Amino acid sequence: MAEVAITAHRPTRQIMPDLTGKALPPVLLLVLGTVTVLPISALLIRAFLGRDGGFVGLDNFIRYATEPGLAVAAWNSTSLSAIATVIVMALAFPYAYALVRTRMPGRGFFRVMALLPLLAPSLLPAFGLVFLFGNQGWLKHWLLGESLYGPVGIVMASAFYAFPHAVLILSAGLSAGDQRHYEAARALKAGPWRRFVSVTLPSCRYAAISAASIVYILVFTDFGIPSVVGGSTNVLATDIYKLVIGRFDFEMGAVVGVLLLLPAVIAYGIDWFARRSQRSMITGKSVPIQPERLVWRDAALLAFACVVTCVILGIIGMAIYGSLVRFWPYNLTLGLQNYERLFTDDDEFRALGNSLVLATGAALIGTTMVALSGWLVARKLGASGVRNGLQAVAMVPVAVPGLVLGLGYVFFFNNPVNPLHGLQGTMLLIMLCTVAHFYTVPHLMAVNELQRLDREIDMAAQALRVRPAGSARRVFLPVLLPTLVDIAGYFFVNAMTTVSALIFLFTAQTRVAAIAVINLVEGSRIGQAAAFAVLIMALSMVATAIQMVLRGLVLRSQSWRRRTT
Amino acid sequence: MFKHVLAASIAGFVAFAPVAGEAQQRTLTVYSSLDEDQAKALIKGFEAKHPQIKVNAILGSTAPIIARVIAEAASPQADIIMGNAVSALMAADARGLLLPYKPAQYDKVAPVMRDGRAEPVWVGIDAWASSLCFNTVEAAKKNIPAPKSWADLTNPIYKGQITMPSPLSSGTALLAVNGWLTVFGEKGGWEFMDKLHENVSKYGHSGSAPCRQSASGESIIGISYATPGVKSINEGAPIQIILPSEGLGWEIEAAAIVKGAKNLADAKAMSDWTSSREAAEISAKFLPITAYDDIQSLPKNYPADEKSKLLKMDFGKLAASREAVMAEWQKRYGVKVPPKS
Repeated sequence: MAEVAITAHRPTRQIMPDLTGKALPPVLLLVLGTVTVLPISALLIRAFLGRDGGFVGLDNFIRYATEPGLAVAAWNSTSLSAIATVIVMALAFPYAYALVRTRMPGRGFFRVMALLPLLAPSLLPAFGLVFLFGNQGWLKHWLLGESLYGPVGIVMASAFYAFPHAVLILSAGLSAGDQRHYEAARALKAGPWRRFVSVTLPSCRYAAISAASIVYILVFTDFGIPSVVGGSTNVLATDIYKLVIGRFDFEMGAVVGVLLLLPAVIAYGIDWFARRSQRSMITGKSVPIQPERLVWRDAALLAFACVVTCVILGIIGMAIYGSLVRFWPYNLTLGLQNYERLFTDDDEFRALGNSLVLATGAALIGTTMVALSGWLVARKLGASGVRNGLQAVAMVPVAVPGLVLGLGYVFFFNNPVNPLHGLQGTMLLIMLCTVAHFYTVPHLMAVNELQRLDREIDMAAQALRVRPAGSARRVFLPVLLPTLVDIAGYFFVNAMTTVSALIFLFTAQTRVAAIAVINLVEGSRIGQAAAFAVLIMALSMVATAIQMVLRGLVLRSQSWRRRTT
Repeated sequence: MFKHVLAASIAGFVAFAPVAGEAQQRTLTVYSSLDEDQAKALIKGFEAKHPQIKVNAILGSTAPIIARVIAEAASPQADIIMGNAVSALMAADARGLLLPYKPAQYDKVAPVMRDGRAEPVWVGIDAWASSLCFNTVEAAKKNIPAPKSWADLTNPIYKGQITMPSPLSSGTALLAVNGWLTVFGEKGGWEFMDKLHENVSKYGHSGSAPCRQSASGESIIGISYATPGVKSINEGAPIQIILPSEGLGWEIEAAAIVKGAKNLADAKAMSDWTSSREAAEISAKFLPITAYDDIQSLPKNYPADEKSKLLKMDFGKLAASREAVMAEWQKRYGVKVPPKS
């Protein structure tokens, strides 16, 4: 991008078509499509094929529709995802609001706490919940006789898992606004509540819709949670596992994969409408938000944030405790024996190193791609078809279970016909798969952030004959920078904990720590698995601390964010 | 700050480079679903015999490993599968993904551990059998007696206290189901499962999980296999491994060469090694049933009479009926929400 910007000084600039605007969107669409939609299609196409590879139309769908249990699984998936979404949004909205729109004390601390569930491999909260609410759980009676294993467990664990995603999207959406709107509202004698309802809520409508759709889709497609705490409650995501892994029936698995895409298609439609109706919230004259101090509000939100944080810490703390006892729940002697093996076994140690390499690579590649795709979509560059294509492609990965993505990668890249076949077995492929897997949320964060900037900025840039790349470098990149730091962090911590897609891709050289944890569980070394998961979380915490510091430095260096007059 | 991370990761790449770059050493890619320690011990033994070959092992659960082999059919990545359930290997074989090979010591292997076909595709490494994990502490709290037979499990006293894997996603569950169909017959077997269903609180996805849940007191009885129980006992779990009196469904874990293996000669060497007596002696440290009948062994805390309680099973028939059994199970128990505990 920087190279393209330099060419702006050449005299040919008026004749030569704008390269960035014309060439970049299709290229990016091609790259993003190659790592997401093409591999996913390589598996999902099988929904329409017979086992011998011939086209069979909708036969597989009909075969699946007549399978007993489908209606129950579909209903469970739909309703439990809805309940979890309502709970998550009710918690995440005030939490995000408190983080970026108030002067509640300890906002930095609470931001880290909200991200904590992202940092832990999904096994840890599962252990934590079992230790707290399982049949031997300390707080078992809180469930009033309901068993953890079933709908209760699925909703609780899903809410825990989806909460940070919602907070990230909402806080990105809430963090920019126009202080002048609030001043105007105040001049019109609107009270705090009125200002909240008529200024704040409309300005973050888009972020709220994105967050709710993402949470719904995440819960809808997640396999890990129902498999650990779901008891016998069948959901569509576990169906796909049974079909593909249990019965090697890739065709029927693909049918479920296609069904799991439905909420994402609906979400894309909603998103498309929301974006059309979203007006720019920041104009050239905008003034950054300066949250006012409202003692009663800030105190109430502080109390609320403390409660949420206690729940998060309780669940994770319990899992850490579990990694330190000799044998839960019968021998509660504390000790570090579970950690010892991890430091003496070369394989496990190398897995940790591999995880760091993967996470760093995914953060670099992912952040670069998201910065570009977010910018193109938000600033409406390139042909509208390509742009809408980019947005659509970016929405797909969140709706695809890791299992589908991972197998799709094998089908697509491990094919001698594919010119990219050479990537098979490399760490780069695993990085790309991880970037693809977690692409949607960062993309939405970037779009949210950039969409609020007024069209006037593009017009001014055009008038000044600054090419899009130039305005990107001078205006959009600086605006986006703090969010980009968060995005890099998001890719990093997710790459540290992801498993499902990688079990089909890892090799002896690229085995990562999260896979090692699964191997330990399967080998019935629960204590060691918990200990390893805690180590992964600790590394992610270090990364998050770095992210926080970096974000602080960026914000401090950007003096334009502060009002000088 | 970011540069440090970058530098560290580059250092990471560089640190791993020598592994790939070591001159003159050939590599062999092995997929395995054996117990991790057992797989590593077998590989170590192989590498000691063949110092010029470096084994790259990919360890995972039974079904995901086979799913991976099937998905990789266009360009096979594995050279040999060193240990996977025969029923799962048959699914890969049915798709034409395995290469017949008769290892050097094939005729010395116990007859039951051989493929039996003229051009054998697999050769057995060990076998595992279904068993119960029974938590004595929780049972005592609730005054629940230890079951002695499969039939005991249908007693209403165990309502809500039993977990088992679903045969739709676990090979361990499938061998239990096959065992019941062998013991009680086709009709009687399903009637038994109907009654058992009333007592089961959870059907999971992992074959070892029911034993772990029993070990941590989440359930009292787990229908599983012995190895996870043995490990839990060794770590201090108050459980007992019960081998029901009617007999045990069981299955063989076998090795098979992948068709299209890039290092075929070395894969054959590995197949020779896994079916050797030396290798069986290594496996015997983990499981009592190996490819050589006369090797007597009993890993610590492993139930003594497993071998004598194995049912006589028709593996060919069971492999053929795999899909039908799964469909029937799904029809009967996949729909209804099981009773609350």
